Amino acid sequence: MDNNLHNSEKLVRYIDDELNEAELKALRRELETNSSLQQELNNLLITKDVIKNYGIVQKVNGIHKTMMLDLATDIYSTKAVIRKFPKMIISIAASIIIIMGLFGLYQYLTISPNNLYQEKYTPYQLAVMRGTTAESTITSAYSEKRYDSVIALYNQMKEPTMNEQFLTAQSYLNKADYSNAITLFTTIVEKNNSAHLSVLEDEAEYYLALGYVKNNEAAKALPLFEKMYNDKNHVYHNKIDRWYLAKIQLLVRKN
Amino acid sequence: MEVIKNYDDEELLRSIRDEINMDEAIKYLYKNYFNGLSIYVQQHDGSRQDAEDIFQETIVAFIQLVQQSKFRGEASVKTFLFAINKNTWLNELKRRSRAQVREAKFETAREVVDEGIHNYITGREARKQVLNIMDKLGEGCKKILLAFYYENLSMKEIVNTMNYENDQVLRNKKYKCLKQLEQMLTADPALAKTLKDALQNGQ
Repeated sequence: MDNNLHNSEKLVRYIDDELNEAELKALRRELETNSSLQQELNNLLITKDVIKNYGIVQKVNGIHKTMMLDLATDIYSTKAVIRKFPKMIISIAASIIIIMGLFGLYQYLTISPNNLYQEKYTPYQLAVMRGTTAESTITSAYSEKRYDSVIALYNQMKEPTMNEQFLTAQSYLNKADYSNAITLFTTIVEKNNSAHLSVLEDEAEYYLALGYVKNNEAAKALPLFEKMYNDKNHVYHNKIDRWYLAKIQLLVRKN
Repeated sequence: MEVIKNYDDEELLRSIRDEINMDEAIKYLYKNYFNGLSIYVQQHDGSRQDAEDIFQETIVAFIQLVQQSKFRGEASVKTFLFAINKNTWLNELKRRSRAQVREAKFETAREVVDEGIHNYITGREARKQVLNIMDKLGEGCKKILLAFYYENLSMKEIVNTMNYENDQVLRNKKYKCLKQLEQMLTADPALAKTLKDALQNGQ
């Protein structure tokens, strides 16, 4: 019995890491041959884990109660703040939301490629342009609003300049041939980009974007208008505002 | 609401593993993950109370796994907590359910990614048994054993805080308390096996 008690005490000191080297060796030898001592050690190790687990559960349980209360209070305090708003303010806010909703709905229903095009389109006014004889011919035809002649002259030219391409593209816009206008404006934008030029670049971008809008390709127009809006040095920067961008976005969604 | 410190995953795991500012770390887990995880339970036939209970169990399991180095941050803490929460709830649903429909739901809902941790989650029954046998000890015994084995206080510190005459008196008392627990297990080998599987092998 005394021996058992002695061994039990040793086992407890063992799980508490209190045995010296010699005691440890002796105990390990004893454990190899004494199965009941081995069983007792196993159970002591389980009790140690039981205590640790109980400790964790107790700690989490204590915090759980506090946190549940805090989280609930947080939710209720948010609700309480909402409740504190006078009914009148809530009614006004609700009315504003309804009006804005109706306005948004109206915009959505009435927005169209044509009205967005007409909102920003103004025929290109010719500045004084100097150049070749042929170019002068196109220029004078354009200034006299003989758009068919501009297109015919352009089609006879082997190497038109970018100015001539631009006036021809404008003529196509005037003739409501948006597809051909888009092709020529795109050519001008690409030439400028590839050759690092800036011949009528901003003008071509602006009218190209409008061409896309009218041709029911608002998604292609949007990045061009965004570029104009973001670039303060763009010639047409002041013509594009947030509201117009929003309407283009609405048109993209509607499409 | 109390201001709770923010942790990144690594810092949180270190805090739990090394038991540094555990209260803060646990509060952080509640603040950041309770709402997200409770949605899962409540969307799968559970009440708000179920969600709270399951989250509490999730946190206990998470702490154990981290302290046993069975989770070292292989996945994010959020992903791991979600997997524990989900498994714990599905286990509970399975336990509650007597209908085969639920059995099928349980089996199909369990994802492969969860299997890895499933085996490490202590069963609810085992946890109840832990509470049962600890509650059979007197309050004095519980305090001493928790102070020594859970809070890792030295004998000297415990003597000072619990007003024992001296170190040896406390040592004798602790020995008796520990033996009392050990004898409960000796008297009930099935209970010993259940607890061993749950706490040491994680089954």
